[in-house]
Amino acid sequence: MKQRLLKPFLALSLAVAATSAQASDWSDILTEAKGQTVNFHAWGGDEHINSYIQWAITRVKDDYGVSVRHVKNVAPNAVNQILSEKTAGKDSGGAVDLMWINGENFANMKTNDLLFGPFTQNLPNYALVDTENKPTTLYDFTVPVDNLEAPWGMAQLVFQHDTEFVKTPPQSASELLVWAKNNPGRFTYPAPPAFHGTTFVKQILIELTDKNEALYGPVSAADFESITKPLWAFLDELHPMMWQQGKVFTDGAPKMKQLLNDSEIYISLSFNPFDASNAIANGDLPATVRTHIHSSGTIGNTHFVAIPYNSSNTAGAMVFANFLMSAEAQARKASTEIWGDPTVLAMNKLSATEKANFDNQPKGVATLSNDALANVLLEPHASWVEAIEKAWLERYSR
Amino acid sequence: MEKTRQVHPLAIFPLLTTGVFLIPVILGLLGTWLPAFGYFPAIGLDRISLQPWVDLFNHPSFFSAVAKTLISGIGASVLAILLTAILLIGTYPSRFFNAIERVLAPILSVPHAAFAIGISYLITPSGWFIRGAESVFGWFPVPPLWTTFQDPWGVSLIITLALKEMPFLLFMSLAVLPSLNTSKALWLSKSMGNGARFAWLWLLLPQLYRQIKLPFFAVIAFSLTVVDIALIAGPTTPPTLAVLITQLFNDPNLLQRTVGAAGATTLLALVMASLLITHLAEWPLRELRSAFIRHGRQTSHWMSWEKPMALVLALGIGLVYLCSTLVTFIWSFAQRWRFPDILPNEFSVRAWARVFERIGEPFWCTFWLAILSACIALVLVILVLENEVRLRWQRGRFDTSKALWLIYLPLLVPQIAFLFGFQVALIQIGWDGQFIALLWSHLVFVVPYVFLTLSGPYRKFDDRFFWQALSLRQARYPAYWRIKFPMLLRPILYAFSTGFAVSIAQYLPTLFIGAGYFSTITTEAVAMSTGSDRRMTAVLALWQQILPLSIFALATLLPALRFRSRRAMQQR
Repeated sequence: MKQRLLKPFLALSLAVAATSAQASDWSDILTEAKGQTVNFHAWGGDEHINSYIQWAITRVKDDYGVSVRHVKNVAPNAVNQILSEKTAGKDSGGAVDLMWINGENFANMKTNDLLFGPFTQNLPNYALVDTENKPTTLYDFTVPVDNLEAPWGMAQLVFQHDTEFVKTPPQSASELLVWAKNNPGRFTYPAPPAFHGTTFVKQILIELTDKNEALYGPVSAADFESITKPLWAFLDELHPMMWQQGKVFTDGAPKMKQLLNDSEIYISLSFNPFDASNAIANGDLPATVRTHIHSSGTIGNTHFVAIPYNSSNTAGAMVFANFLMSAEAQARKASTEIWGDPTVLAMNKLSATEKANFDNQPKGVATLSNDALANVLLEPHASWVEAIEKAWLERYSR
Repeated sequence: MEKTRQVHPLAIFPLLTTGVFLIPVILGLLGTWLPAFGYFPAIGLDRISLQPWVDLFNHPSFFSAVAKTLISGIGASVLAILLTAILLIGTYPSRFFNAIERVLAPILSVPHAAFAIGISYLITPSGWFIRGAESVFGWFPVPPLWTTFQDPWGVSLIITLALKEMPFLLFMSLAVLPSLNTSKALWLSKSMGNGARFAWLWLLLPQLYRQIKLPFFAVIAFSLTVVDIALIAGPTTPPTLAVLITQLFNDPNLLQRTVGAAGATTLLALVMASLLITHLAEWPLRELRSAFIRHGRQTSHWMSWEKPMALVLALGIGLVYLCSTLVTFIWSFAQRWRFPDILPNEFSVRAWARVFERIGEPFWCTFWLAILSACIALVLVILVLENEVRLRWQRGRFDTSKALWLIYLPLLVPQIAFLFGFQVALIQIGWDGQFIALLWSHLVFVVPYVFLTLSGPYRKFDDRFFWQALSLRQARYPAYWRIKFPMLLRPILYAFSTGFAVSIAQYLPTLFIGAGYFSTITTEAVAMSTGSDRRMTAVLALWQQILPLSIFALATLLPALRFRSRRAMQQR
């Protein structure tokens, strides 16, 4: 249903991007950007990502004369910074020029007018983005992106299992429950409202309700009680079979990766399909780990960079965002030896050499094929998140 | 007549010190209270309302989080002070205690989060202890399904906190003990046919408590409001209130920040109430102690259990610190390390090399912030305390503790709530992101610690030494520099190193007030600890430890060196 809605919007945005006026705008932006220092606030918990960002910083300095600082800061803290500035009336010259952002933060920043833009239509590399086949580049958490954030990478919920203990990984929510009953204590998921935890719960909800149409509309219009009833019944059964009998939860996927390495759990989850291969290469996970997904497909997503409304280095920020979307930067990012983050670009919009560059990137031993990953589920409507989180806390965190 | 009306130059320092620290406190509290009552124009809330409170009380996790906070916070504080008392009764003074004193520096310099992570490496079902049992007995081919860490009841949190706070209380006691005439009290007690316990309970602990009361209050406030340790070692569903507040402040739904602010206000009230109850509990405890001693003739017949217990405790705690640091150290060189291997199956220096490449800037930023804030705080605190001395002799009795309690406020409010208002004000005057503002924000937390470390021993100083020096030399400065300060060298150095370590530990102030323009070892370490790379986290935790370690070592070794041939000056 969503795809049908996206088509006309897409044609429109492409038409906008293609106008020749943009080109001269871009050279103005490049001139303005020269000499600016961009403060890029991005999570700094992964050394590979940090190194990749460092590489991009060097390139943008060399090619465009734009300096970028990587401020290792999580999105909520960057939002707090912007809120303080807004409270103090500092509507320009803000400390955050560009931030790595997820759907929930985007939705709320958009509602509260904390974003600069629309701007992505001005970025030459935005035309390469696969907006046709990757609808989440246009709808972040079901909220229209409206050119307010630049797509950076693709994400998809995947499961990881240790083949030393799991011979045939579960292919659905119900199989997962059966597996957990046979292997008590060896699966867990992060507690909502931690992002990975909420995503897992939404995944289960979509599976158990067979993609109920109501999930894609506002929660207020749906019968929340009866739609989520199978979800709670499922979790009530699953929790006693989980790690620590479901009485202790992790705070995110990074912690679960450690538990998987420690053999405390045998099945973990991630939002990056390349994550397992990457972690094996890095020594974070044993070579026996493999990736699997559920046969009904799993929730997919896009992660973005956005410019706060009061950034004073918007030109520099746009130049950096544009570089991050370039074929070169995206191909490098896709390599599991560098980062292993799926590209947002459309292969058919690239030149032959650019495309070959992608094809030559190592995919890693534990990564699923593109076909296996093709079945992407859309997020439920953003309003479901809060309702689900609240109901989850009511039940399991009293 | 005329002369007394003149303002003494020292008189401005209490004003300056409280003023400098009152401003951020008031701004910080305003920044918490306005959103707590629904006023938050940045997200379109411009009317006072009680909605945040309604939402807070209706939050599913709220009441349970409050209960867990109180149990773990109070439990950890009481356990910490009990452990301190047992250690003192059982081993002070002795050679063994001198040994404890020497290892205190490395113990104190362990960063809080790193210690909690270190403990988790030891006692989780896949931790070192289980691995050891597996390799010796083969009992655990896979990690057992036990709950040994992050238990829902908060036991692991209480133990982790108590083990981290006990050395601090012991350290605070060290600065005070010399002035208590312990040996004489113990000798007196023995000559009257009573044991060490009698002397401690009757004479020494009450005096000691009076002087480490403020540090103890800081321990209570810290245990109730701590976020990082509670995140690592605490219960999860629900977590403690401080963690819940942090989650609310980090919620993508910006309205939740008002609920977080209401939660922060609640936490402040909880801390205040806990401190008040602790204060009021002194009287019944005093009565109880008197009754115990009066009716407890048999004390001398009881087996003295404190000594063996203190030995076991000291060795146990030392072992925990040793193992947790060791396992962190090994992780820093690990490439692959799986259960049930006791040691990594591949080693690598990659993490060290990676960190070494880029530690320069954060290292120096950390160093300058710490050294400057500790120095400024020390000077301010000494001047304030000197002013007290002056007033005491000018007007007779002067209740010194009344005016300055306000500077402790920053320790009582969760940082994430408190910093918002301060940050807003700094942005308004255009100071945000400046080094000076960052230094100021560190001072807000460093000064209270320096003050609570130094004020007890400083107020206890026998002024007759000073007067004698004054009358002999007829000059003020030599009396200070040659007599008073050297005699107080130990507490002064302890206060300095505490302030230094407190500055290094600051994460949120560095991030918020520095607006992301400054990175320190701690911001690097925290950023890395949100990921899954244990090696990088371990390397940064060890880096984080290096500076406090050297300063604490200096503070414990320097007085001993300085007084090698002048033992009496140490007031031992």
